[in-house]
Amino acid sequence: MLTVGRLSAQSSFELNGFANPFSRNAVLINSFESNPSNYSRLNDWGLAVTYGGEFANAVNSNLYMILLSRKMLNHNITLRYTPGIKKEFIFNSNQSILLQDSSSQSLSSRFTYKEIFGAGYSYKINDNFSIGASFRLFNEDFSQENFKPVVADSIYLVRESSSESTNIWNGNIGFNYLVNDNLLISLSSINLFTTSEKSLSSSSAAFELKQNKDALLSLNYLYDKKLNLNAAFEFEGSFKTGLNYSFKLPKGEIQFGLTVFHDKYQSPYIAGAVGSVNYVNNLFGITLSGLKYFSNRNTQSSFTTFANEGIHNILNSRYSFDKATLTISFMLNTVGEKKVKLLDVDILNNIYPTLNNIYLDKPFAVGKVVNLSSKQVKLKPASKINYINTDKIFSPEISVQPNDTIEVPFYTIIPENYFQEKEELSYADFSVFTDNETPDDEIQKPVIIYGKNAWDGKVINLKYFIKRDIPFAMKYAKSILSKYKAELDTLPYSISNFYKIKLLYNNFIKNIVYASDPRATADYVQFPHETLELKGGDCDDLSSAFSSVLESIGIETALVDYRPDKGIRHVNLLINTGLSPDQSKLITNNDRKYFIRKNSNGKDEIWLVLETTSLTDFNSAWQLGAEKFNKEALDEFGLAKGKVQIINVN
Amino acid sequence: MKKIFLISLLLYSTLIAQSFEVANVKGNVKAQFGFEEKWVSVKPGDMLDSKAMVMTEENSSVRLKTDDLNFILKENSALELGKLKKLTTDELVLALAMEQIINAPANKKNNSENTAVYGSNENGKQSSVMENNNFGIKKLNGAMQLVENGFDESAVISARETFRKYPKTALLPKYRLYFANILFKKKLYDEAYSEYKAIESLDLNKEQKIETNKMLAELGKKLLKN
Repeated sequence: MLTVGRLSAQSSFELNGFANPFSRNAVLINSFESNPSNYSRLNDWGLAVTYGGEFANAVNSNLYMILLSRKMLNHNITLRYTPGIKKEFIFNSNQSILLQDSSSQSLSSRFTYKEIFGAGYSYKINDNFSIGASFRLFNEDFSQENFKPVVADSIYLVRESSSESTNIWNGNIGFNYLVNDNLLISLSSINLFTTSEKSLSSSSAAFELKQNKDALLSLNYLYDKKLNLNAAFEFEGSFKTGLNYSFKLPKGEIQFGLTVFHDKYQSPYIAGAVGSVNYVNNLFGITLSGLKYFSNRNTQSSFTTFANEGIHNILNSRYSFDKATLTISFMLNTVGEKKVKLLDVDILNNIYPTLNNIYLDKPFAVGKVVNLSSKQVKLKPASKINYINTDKIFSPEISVQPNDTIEVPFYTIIPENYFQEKEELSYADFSVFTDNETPDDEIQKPVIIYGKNAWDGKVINLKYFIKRDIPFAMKYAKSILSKYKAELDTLPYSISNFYKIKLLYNNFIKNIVYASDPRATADYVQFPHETLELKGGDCDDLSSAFSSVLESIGIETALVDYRPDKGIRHVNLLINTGLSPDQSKLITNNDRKYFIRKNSNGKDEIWLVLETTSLTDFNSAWQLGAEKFNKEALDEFGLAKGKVQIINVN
Repeated sequence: MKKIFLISLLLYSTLIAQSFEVANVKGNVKAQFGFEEKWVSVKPGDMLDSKAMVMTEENSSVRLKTDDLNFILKENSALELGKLKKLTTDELVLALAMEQIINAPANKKNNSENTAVYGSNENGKQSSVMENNNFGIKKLNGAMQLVENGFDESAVISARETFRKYPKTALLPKYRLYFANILFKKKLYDEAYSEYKAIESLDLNKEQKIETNKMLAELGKKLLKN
């Protein structure tokens, strides 16, 4: 017998033939019979009603099924009531009695099989793998008539009816494995367990629904998003195969299906075919199906054959007739339709809280997003880092072409007042939104939030440490300069900056000692106030601190980043004296000690390089800085070769 | 080509660490060592390293020698001895590129991108304070003598640095044209064209104007072909 579906209580049959399992209403038109693990693409609620007619001597119409399905995250539950799945057989025996009015009365037997109710549950383990089980309740009711002799004044025969009824529970398990976006493999049991509420008498037991144990392997292949091919094999020999072709409509999709089946209990070899037309949109679906058997069907059959073979399927057996059904399904989406899926997120950079602005134009993470829909979708990526953000931070909107997979950057904002002493492991929630208020998809990833002194080793980012302490540096600079007010007041304005630099440096280095990073790595930088309070630091700390002091009183600075192929990186400070090239004689007789550089207004001015780790005096620091810059930046073309870089603080 | 490169490299490495002996001195010749502020007189037999700057006054000269080189610095000249080295044209291009790299990013409000225009003033006239730039002129004279001794690339680098550090010297068409011609000779047409365009705005005499226009026309054709 063909099992069009898998979790069949008996060798099952599918009224609607084979439906595309990738379609949103598939679970509603192919439930337990064609859906091994109750696999569902619903977002929320689904309701389906199937009404049909059987073409015997007369058309017998029936409400075949009412089905309700609900998806909750990874869980899916389906319940169905099946008043139309029933089959009744009435057999007249050869025995009859002649009544007084010369009429005769014969004996009859009635066998009724019904499927009453079914329940299915599935769990999506991951996007590719789901498992499920179904339970179904059947009822068998058998009544047989006999003549019973009654002895009274005379002996006469009376007709006596005896009946037996039982409920049978049937359960099966199965799984679906989505190998890729196109191939779905399913394996399920047939009649894994059955249990009857009570035992029938030996005369009735022979007519019970046959429930042979079996297994079913099914393959679905989706070609080119339109053509879906299906084949399902029962290990005992029956099989079915079918195809389903989809056409996109402006609002929805129309699918044509054709299924042919071989049932080892029926002839010819291909016992019949089911054709179907299914229209589905976001809200509802209408499915019209027709079943045609390729052998003649009689309303009268031999009792002997029936008694010998029994039936294996209520809806589909040698005693079944051609049918037509109409299924109307509704999909109620209180949960928004998922248009995009966030496949994965890579953390590109853990968080350096002090370098807060770098995350405004440089993503800290990148996600891979696929557009599940057939239309271009505009998606808004958002991230929220625990401990740092109180709300989601939205990144710029991005368009994704239908069925396309793209990389999506996630930006973040670190509040200015965020302050954390030590490194901490946190996590970030990444979401992608389309039209709905709720995200289409979310992923959580761990992210490290470094302490306030952490630095990514890029000299360009030292400016965050420099700028953050400007108020402190200004107070410090003013307190020093005020001591030299009289001296500074006598100087020409043009040269005052040079003298301020000299005075500030000579005071800055008092009591300062060179000290390397506390952790023997280059990723720790002190804030300027820390360098002055701790009275020490390395080249990054000293250059940052003195830059902050000068910037706070309006003297332009730049960092000189020496990046040799081998050896340790080093940082010096380039300082604008504000003097024009013609005024060089005011500060030196040696033109190799200064460099001409345009300021931010495009004017050539005299800049000095200071080796801030030379903690003797200003002149030594200036000379050492000039020597290094001349050699490595200019004579060895370090600036052009990228081995020396000048980074403006502002 | 490979040979030339190797020879250049060897010459470069020997000269950079080389000492120069003062062979002859005529008149007033001084030297400044490294990053010192003071100038001291030199006399025959003194040894000078490549970080030394040598300067001659009027009617003065000095002959410097190494194992491979005899170099006379003529009157009214100044030269950093480290410049007495062979560079490749590629290295010259790198040096020219560094002029842009070293600059601070310009404000949007006041954007002056053309760094090739040195010392242009309002009326384009030679400044009366040119005397203060005597040292710059001496350096340009020294750079010209580098050219005479085959150190073209070093000469251009030295001249460009001088034009920038002593902006009044950049107003002297004679020197600007001289070094622009070196750029042309080295087939650095883009750089030469920019330089002639800058020279065009200086106060030129008739011959200088003719020469500048001729070179601009020729370079225009060459750049068009490329």
